[in-house]
Amino acid sequence: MQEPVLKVDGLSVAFRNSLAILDDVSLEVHRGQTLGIVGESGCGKSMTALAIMRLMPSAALTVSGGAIRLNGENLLDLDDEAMRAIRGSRAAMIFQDPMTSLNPLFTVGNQVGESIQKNRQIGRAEARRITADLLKAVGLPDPERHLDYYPHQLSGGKRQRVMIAMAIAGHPDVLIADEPTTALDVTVQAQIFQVLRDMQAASGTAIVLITHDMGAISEMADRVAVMYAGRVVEEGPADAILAAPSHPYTRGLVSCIPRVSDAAFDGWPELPVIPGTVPDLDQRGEGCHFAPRCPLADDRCAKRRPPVLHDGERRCACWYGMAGGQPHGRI
Amino acid sequence: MQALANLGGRLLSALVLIGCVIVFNFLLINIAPGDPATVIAGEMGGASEQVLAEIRAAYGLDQPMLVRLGTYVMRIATGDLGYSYYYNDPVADLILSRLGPTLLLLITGLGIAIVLGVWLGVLSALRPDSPFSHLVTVFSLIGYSAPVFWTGLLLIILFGSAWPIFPIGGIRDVTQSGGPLFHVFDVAHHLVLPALTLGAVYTAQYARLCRASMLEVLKSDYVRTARAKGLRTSVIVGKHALRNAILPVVTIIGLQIGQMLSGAVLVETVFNWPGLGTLAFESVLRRDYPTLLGILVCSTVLVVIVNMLTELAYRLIDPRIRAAGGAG
Repeated sequence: MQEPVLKVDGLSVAFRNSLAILDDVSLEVHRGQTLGIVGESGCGKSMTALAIMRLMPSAALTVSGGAIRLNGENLLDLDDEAMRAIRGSRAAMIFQDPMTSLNPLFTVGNQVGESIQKNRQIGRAEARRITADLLKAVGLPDPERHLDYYPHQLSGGKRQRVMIAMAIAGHPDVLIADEPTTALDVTVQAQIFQVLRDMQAASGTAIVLITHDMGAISEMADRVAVMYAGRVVEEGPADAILAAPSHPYTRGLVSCIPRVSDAAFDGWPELPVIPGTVPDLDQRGEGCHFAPRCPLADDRCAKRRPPVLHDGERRCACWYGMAGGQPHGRI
Repeated sequence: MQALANLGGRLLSALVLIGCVIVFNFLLINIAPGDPATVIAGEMGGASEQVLAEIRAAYGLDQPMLVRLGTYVMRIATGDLGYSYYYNDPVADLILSRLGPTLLLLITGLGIAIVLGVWLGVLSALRPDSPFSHLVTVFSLIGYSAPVFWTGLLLIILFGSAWPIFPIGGIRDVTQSGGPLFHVFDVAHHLVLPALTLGAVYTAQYARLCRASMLEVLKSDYVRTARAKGLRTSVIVGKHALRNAILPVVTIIGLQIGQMLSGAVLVETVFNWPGLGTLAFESVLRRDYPTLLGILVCSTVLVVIVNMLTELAYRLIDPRIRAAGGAG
């Protein structure tokens, strides 16, 4: 099989060298494919993304183990200058809130042009022309006019398109999209996903899509990694996992997707919820972090780290085995 | 067209504002106790009731207040600020001769404060836990809380007495003479201590403000975006962060220019700097109303002009204000 573009291998991130924020996270994504990372707030999705880009928001956060390989090269071995060269060229990132992610004081043309000129030694006029092409590629109408717009003159959807244009300016091998549509409304979400798919089809860029929305996973992802409290609890092909989740947490997430078929029988049933919340950093023991909220949990789950079980292309970290002690399916 | 109409509106409101201040100042001074005629008579060595009445008639002080106000406003409109009781000179000439040194002091002090303050603020925000950053914080606190005259006296003791490398008063050395170049150097040499004194307070304030806003901006999403784009630190800080962080500083400069003028009064008095400040100070002591009023008019105009300039600068920096048009 082809080498993955991005391979995160046993990545651990600690806060003040003691509290584990990410614990032995392993992921990979291949050229032209999309990996979805899904989980609740606070499960470490965004931290994984920022760790890959080496943009962790505080000096108190340090990588305590593992490797992040981009085309085989471990990013953790690079010095700051070499890492800076990789950002925005071989690895790019877009963020959750396009309203605040663009600098309010500079024009669209200026901010996208900056990304182009970072990667190529070209003049302003040339950068402006390429910027217009990029804006067109991300579906902004009348790109020439948009060059001179300031962010506050654009809608959220258009701003996110500008962010995407900026990110793909350097033809990245991997694009990390951290909840790119969370701040946008649903119709705009569909458009942004379409832009990402078109871009991927044209360039073969691997995408890491971070989301809490199972619907986005089924729409976009080839593979999915489910994270809980800093660990990957289940990983595999998206359609297989959505159809038959193994880990009790994944099953909870999948069962929380509202389905029209549920309504067809007996009016709208109450939407299921997973009771409880993600444990705080200092409340995470050695055992399965999901145990306090898990309907199957017993003493062993609470005390000992669950084994990672493999089944074909899938893996799952649960004491109850691949099927969580039950046939594949919803709880 | 819109911009022109906008500018016209601003100028008009500025004129109305200046007019209001002129009337208010006039009334304020007239309410204050004390009779200029007795002061003038006192300077002449005492006088009888009849002489006092003659003095009042000569200066129009025997007219009703409203008449005096009307005359005053009309004269100011034609550029006539009146005649100084004390200096026996037209007030306008007096002010013009003192305006240059004051502007020189203000602009130099402000320049020092902006450059040094922003620089210190940015550097300390980049490494908020470093000893340098703590030093800046302590310096800001001291600079901010120390009275201007005290800072001035300390500098005089330090650089005028303990290590005498700068002159401690006046604007030039009358015992020396030389070409124009010597003159420029001489004034610059005399300017150092007063400008530093005036600048110190504002350096401290701008450093504090800039440090805080820079820390805020460095945490912002768009700075994270700039880092994710792989830009150089110098571009991230110098372009993306600084331009946003400087906005509150620009606002404060505009708001504080009035305070700075009153600060200049103290600095000029301490360093015997022949500017508007010393003139104002002397005029208060001598109840030289026309001069005092003239200075107030002049400083009002200065403050209004600076505020308009600040707004212009703000518009140049922030496109969101530009777009808001008249509402901004």
